[in-house]
Amino acid sequence: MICVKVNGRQETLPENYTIAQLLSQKELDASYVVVQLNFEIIDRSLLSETTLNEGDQLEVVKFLGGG
Amino acid sequence: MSKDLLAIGNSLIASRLFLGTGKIPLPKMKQVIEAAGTQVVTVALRRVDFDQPEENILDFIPDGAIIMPNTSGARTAAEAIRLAHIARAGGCGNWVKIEVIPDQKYLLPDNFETLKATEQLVKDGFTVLAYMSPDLIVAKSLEAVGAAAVMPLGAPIGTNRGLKMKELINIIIEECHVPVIVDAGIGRPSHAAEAMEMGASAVLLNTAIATADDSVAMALAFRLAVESGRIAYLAGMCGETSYARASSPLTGFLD
Repeated sequence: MICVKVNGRQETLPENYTIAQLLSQKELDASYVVVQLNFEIIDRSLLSETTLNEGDQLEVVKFLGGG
Repeated sequence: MSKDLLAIGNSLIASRLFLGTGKIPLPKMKQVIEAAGTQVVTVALRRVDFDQPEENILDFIPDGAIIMPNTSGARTAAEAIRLAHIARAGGCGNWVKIEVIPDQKYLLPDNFETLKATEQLVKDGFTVLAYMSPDLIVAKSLEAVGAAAVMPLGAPIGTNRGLKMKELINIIIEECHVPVIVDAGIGRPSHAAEAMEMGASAVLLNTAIATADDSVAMALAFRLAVESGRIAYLAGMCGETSYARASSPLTGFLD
């Protein structure tokens, strides 16, 4: 198992877990969010081949109402 | 009347009412946007809250609308630049409303950081609309670095106080070549009409529509006001005089 920070919260995940797997575990549609891994934007096409590593910091953001 | 379109970036826009989507309940969103006749809507970026799954705002915005993410939350140019790039990765095009706000009491923008962020984001290929405190020198500088539009505030965000900065906005309208969009502070349709009569290219509204008792009806009221003010501006308004000028003939058959 590995420890990863997801939106500021520590999560324990299996090894070789991909970002796409994490999003689907959270029931999030990847086409609605933008993911940053250690402050780098990860292109949507790469979410299913990008695996998480111990100590990674993940930010998952989305659009919402704003002026 | 021939088509009066507003050119921003590579787009030609018929509606001069831009709409912020904050505080509008999602189920009402489409109706409000349609009543306003809006073609440009702003959205913000936030962390996903995994504990409170919510629907996606993009599903409630009509197809064909230009989505303009803002950089709200940014306190420095660097943060605004980062947010703009994240927003673009969200796949809604390359428009961005730069707002850099270090002041939480009045939510006044930092013009210097806004200028820095604008310069960089234009180089990065964004269509940048810059929210700013109305200052001619800053507006000209934003124009010089490639801003697609400048957006001076009428009054602080959400205050509904109208065009408190009218004189300064007037100068910017007179001197700038890029579109001037009055953003923030507009609380009533008459304020929006006033901005358009002055020659503003468009207005950006949010609170005044979103928090009205009937936001759909208010969206329509603002749409009519914006159209009315724009038509009056194009028609050429009469100047004011100190003394009366008769509008009926005074020729005297009573003499």
